[in-house]
Amino acid sequence: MAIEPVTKITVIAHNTVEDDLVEAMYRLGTVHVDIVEVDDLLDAKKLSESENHEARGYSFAIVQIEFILGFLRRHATEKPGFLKTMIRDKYPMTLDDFANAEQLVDLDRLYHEVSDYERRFVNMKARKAKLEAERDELQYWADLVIPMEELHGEHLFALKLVRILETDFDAVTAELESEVPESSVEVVSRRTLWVSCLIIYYPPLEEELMAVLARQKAEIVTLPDIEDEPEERREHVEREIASIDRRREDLEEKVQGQMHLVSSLEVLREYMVNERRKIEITTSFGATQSTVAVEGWLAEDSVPFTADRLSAVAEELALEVSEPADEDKPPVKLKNPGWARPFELLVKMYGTPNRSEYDPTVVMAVSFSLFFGFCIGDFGYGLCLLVALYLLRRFLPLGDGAKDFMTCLMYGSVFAIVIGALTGSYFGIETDKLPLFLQKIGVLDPLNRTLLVMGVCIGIGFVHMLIGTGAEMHDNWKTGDKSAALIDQGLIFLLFVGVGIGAVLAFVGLIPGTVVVWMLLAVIIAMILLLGRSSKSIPGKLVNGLYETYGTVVGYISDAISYVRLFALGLATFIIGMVINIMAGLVQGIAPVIGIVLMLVILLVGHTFNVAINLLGAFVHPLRLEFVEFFGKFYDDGGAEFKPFGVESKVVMIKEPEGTTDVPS
Amino acid sequence: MFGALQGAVNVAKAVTWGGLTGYQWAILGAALAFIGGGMGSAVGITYVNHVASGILVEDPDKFGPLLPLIAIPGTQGVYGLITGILVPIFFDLPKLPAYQGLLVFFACLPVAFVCFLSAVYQGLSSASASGMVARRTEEAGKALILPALVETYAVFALILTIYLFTQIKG
Repeated sequence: MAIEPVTKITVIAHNTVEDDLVEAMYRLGTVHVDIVEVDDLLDAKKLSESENHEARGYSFAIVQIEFILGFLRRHATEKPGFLKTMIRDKYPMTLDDFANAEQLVDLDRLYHEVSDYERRFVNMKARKAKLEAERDELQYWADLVIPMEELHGEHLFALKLVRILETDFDAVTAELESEVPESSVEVVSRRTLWVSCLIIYYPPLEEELMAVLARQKAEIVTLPDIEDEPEERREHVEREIASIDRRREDLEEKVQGQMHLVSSLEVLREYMVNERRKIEITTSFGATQSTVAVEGWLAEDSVPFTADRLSAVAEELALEVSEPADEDKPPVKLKNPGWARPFELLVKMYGTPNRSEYDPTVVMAVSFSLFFGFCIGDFGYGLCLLVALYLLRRFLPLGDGAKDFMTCLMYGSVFAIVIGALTGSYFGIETDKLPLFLQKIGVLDPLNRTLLVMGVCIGIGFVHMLIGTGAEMHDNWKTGDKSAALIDQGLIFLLFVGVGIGAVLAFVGLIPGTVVVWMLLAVIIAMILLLGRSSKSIPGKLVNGLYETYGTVVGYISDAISYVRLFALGLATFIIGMVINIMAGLVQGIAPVIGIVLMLVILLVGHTFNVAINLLGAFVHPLRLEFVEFFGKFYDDGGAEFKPFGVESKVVMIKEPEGTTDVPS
Repeated sequence: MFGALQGAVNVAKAVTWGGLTGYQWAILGAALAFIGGGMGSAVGITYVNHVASGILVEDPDKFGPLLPLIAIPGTQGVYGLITGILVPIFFDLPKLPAYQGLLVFFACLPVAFVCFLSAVYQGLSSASASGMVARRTEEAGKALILPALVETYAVFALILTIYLFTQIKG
């Protein structure tokens, strides 16, 4: 529940060993590299022409790989399933194997090969589309037994192929008879809504003919100027389309032969990205004419071996390890007990805490799990989730983040089991149908003790928020702002804890009720008088105090009511489960065997759906309570996360140096 | 004074109110709660779907991170369903007096209206958050929190409705 101290490391080396230094830091993966402050003696390191060229080379290789992967994915016959899109394949391999990733694929050869495939596919697609359009057109003119090159006419008569809507045909012929009498219309075919016809006319009347056709919105068709008749040409086109299809299939087969390279390409891409990072990281360094200076941060436990390994890089290297100075802004490394560490993921989702701030991970680990448990709130669902999450975590190739996330949900599932037992919720079975001993455990039945469960949620909310307020109080006290600690937070404790305890004592008759009323009034008056102390004038202090008191009291109460959502979401899970059971019960009796099968299907699908839909709410709403209601009381983010420079990859999992790679070559 | 008391007694004894029995008023409320929540959810999910479909055309791998955003406006429909189901669970409908049925009807209104509007606006928020996921998939967690804030009021509406049920039941 703390922020781990970090140690500053400064390395100055001759620039000839810069690459070795970077490689050593990359392999160690323990140094958070910071940007060196430039002064009169030290310039910011700039990339040389060769480094820029090398970085551009890696960028180009990444683009090539993306292109190849995109091409292969488009042509993959097996599309990735839902789970595959959520969880990417992981490749465990040693650092040495990863360093040799370039040997996995001959990238240039593959890129040119795939580019050629792509070009051929594009050409075939374009050619086929053109041929199909021509074939479709020729189908209208199949009955025209004239070579197509002769469809222009001679000097005494001209020919035009025209397509007219069936409904407009009579109007066109009538208008042609009146406007272009020296013309004749021969119907070639009638297909769907269209009449395809050949118009024979006297050439000097072309202008009048075109005017009629334009008015009637007739479509003038042009066929290829070749000696084939339309039907002959159509058959030829069909043969060519079939030939393209065959060639395309052959090409597809060749592409399928490259599919095994996908995993190698994914590894290679990650390798290229990491190689580029090795160049880019040097822009954080300082430089003189012949030296480079590196500043960074180390976790305390990694100082000895990191210093030893870096010192061994070269003789021309000076290394200093020191405590952070006052003006330094070290990165934040969270330090929590192993069981709470997965919840650091959720804290970082909001933002890494400021260096002087508390690390709320441990409190969040407990409260988030409890809230998640409330939202699921069913013994059976909790148990199923726990088992399912354990199996997924155990057998799926997950990264550290996904494993941490599942661990968080597993803790929540344990709470769901406990709360399910307390609320008497077992797969949504109605309470009065449960065995008697289970009914007795269920002391928080949400349907019969609605207000009690709501009250419990509000109570949990107050405790949760007061922990946050306590953290802020301690923070103020520690930083010397004791008046803020005593007034801003102390009065809140007096109001909600002091008066609360007084109310309980009055309720059991140990003190008179009037004492509690006077206590309440005293705290409220103190708040009005003191919370507005930042204003300069006395009326200003009073008005501001009144405003702040109102805001504080109403804010806390409304925030506490917000926790009632836990009850509502838990009840939602229970009610939907109950409805599924009722539906299953209804179908059970419709037929001897089918009824039971249907019932089982409804139960299985229904309860799975119920868990899935409520899992979403059970994650989002507790997180909201943490981020808005709890963090809002004390938490300042803005710290830079401690991120050691090393291998960064979404698909490659670096194993210990000894081991084998699972990546196919 | 006596007249007002007599009026209250008459209301309590009345078999129908506005031409509907207590049973009918309660069922009307239950149905309205689901109509509001369900319609809102359908509209809200459609808004996100429009944006999500566009993203998925470009990058089908984003289906996983986008799915929670698409599903999140669906919760209001569930709240409507819960309200609808709680009505017959909390009350003995065939014996429900007209005035109590009317109260149940009014108690269902927060869910009917608030869930409808919050689902629609949550759909719009989720659609914006989908853009965030499209650009930075690693921020999918944060993107999920923003539309969840809109749902607060749907949850409050459900809580109020359930609380009112407990009060009407007595």
